[in-house]
Amino acid sequence: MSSASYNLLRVLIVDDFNSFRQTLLKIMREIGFKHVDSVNSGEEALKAFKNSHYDLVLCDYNLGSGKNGQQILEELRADRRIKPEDIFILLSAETSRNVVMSAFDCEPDAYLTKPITTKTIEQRIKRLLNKRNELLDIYSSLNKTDKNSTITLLEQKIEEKSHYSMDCQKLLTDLYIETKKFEEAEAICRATLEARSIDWAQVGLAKIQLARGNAAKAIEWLTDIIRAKPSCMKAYDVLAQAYQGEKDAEKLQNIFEKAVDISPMSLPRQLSLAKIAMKNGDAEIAANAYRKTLRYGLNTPYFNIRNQINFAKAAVKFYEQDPEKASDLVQEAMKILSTVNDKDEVMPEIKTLSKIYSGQILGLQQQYKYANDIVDPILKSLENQDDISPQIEIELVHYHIFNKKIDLADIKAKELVKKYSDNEAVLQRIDCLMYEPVSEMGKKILQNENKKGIDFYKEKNNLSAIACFYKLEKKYPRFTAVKLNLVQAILGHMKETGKEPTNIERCKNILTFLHSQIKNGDTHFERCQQLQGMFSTLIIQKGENNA
Amino acid sequence: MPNTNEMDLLMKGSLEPSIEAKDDQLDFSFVLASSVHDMKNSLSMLLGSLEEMIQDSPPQNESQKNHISILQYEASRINSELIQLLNIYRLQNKSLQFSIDENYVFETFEDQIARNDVLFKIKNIEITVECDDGLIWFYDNELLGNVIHNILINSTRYAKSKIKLSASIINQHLTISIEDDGFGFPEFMLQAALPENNKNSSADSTRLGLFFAAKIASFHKQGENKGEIELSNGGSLGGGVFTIILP
Repeated sequence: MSSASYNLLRVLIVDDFNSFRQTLLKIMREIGFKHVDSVNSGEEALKAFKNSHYDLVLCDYNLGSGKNGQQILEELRADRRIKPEDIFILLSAETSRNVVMSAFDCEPDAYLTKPITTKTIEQRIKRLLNKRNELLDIYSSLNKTDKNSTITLLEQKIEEKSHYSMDCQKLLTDLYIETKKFEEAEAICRATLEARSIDWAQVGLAKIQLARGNAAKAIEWLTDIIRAKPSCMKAYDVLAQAYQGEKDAEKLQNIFEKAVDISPMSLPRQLSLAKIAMKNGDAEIAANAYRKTLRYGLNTPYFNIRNQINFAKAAVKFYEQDPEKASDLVQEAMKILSTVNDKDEVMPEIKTLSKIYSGQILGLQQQYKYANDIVDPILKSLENQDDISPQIEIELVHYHIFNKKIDLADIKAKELVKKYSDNEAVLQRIDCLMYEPVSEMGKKILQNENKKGIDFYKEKNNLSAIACFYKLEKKYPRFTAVKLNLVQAILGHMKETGKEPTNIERCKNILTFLHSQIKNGDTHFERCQQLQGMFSTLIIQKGENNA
Repeated sequence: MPNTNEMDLLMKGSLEPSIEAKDDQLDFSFVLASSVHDMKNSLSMLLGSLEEMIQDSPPQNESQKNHISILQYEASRINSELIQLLNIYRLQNKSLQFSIDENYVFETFEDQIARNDVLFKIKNIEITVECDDGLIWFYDNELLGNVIHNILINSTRYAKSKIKLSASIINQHLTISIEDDGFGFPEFMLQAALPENNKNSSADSTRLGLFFAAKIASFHKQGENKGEIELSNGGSLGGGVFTIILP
């Protein structure tokens, strides 16, 4: 492309640092651009795009307190204000392109690390404009719905041995998969892999398997890729898709945990991890993932009320499980809940929820009076209302439990079971309030997981048994059968290895809970008494095991 | 200075994701890596200002030119050294991301030459490239780029007036050479570059540089073969020759 055509293109420079902005401006003029605008923040950049269109954007990554360069690119792409042929260059002081980029789904056309010389910018822009020129017909056909014409153009480019054949092949593979031309897609990947084990081609083959409905094979291949290259983020994303079909919640959580460990800045992955961990009852992981989603997602659509409320929910659950470890998180949750409450635009139902969560936290902190002050007005206002959402009803029962109104909680929980007796989805959510499962799914999980634990116990593998029951207890904190088994496994473990204060404390707490709930004549009464007896014997034993 | 909070957050996440889980225990290597990152940021600013200054008021005489070239050279060297430190930290932490793709070797050369453009101009160094512009090879462009960048900075110090980059395929291996017309490498460096000495990454920075280059080369694998580096003297310009060979 000759420099003469530069003067037709519009350029936008985004940098919060005045002298750098001036330098870039000068460089762009020297290269031959006539229309060059510059702004000093992400918000200004988005405004500039509303008023006119830019063919080339030079954007700093770190723009101070507002949106960062990556967030600007994502918003522009999401709103289609930037077209595939437009060029977006991200500048940053960060050393490694991979560190910044691997976290995100949208990639800029180029990523330049500061310090940047004039020559570097000039050379890169020339290269990108050449590419744009050569691929312009492909870009414009991408905007149309007919994928086959794009495919034909790409095939031609590759046939001509274009300088950009590699880019064309990647794009073509995706289009083949989208249009279900699996054999063609596979041929490209295989030809590429014959030369070298290149990530995109390996992941491509797995994508084809998945698209063909063979999730198991896709999972196998992707797991192999990740084992060999733990930083291949695309593989995690496709793997997550594959597991979604398989409904294996624990494996899925595992994948996302690894993925966010490598690149914590990815908001979609953090959010997926938070959701799946919450489903698995792993409140610690969920609360932390929600917190990161909000923290890194400031100024983005991820910083929304739903995620804030869910963060609070996860923090409360974690606080219930481990008050000491969760104390910071729960404080942060309290702050967020009060900001949610103060916002006018928030829906009344969400405000009600946020108050109930505050009441739950205060209850767990044994500040029963403050909790009542917040939640009593809600209880009154809901008295004559029929259309209360199940979520609010369930959270109110939790509120009663945390505020030690156990009898009331039990009555309300039973009412809910009756009310939703033919609604499996709601019953699944009610399970965590009950002493035994009421949903089909809950029954199945209890049966399967309990059996696993019992088998471990029978093999004298007490630690695995404890882990198994503990995981179940996290998910269903009130199931009697789980609690009895957990105590038995811990007692078994202490008999083997000696007394240990945290385990004694744990048994004591569980037994207290069981006594408060199991009455003489109940199915579990006798076993509970036996376990209490075993526990008491162990405690008074001045045994040889005890150092 | 621009606000760096955002980046700090990112660094904490990317360098050491589990830092929060470590309670209040301070991890020294993490602290070091964070400060290195900060230093690199300010050095970036310094180099940027220096380039502007040279553009606004070009050196008037030999002595000024000499001073500026020292500033430029030393700042670039610190900068590349810091990048290397961060990468070694990541390497140790297993968070160095490595991804092989097809690249045009010519473009990789162009990028690194442009990156050091000011330095070459100030030192009056003539760069020549011998590489087919259609030559494609498989490597991690960023990491290999950093290795070439380090070598170019080093060669600038010892070259009289010429540096040559060349690339070709020899025995199905990509062979990249960076030659200069200086006095060549001293004996101890030639020794340090031998494969059996690469493991011994003692603290001195030359060896650290070689260690890193050798490490990056060895990441590039194909079947039984691994990438390696070689140092020699002579070549077509009569000075030091750094060679990196990738399968």
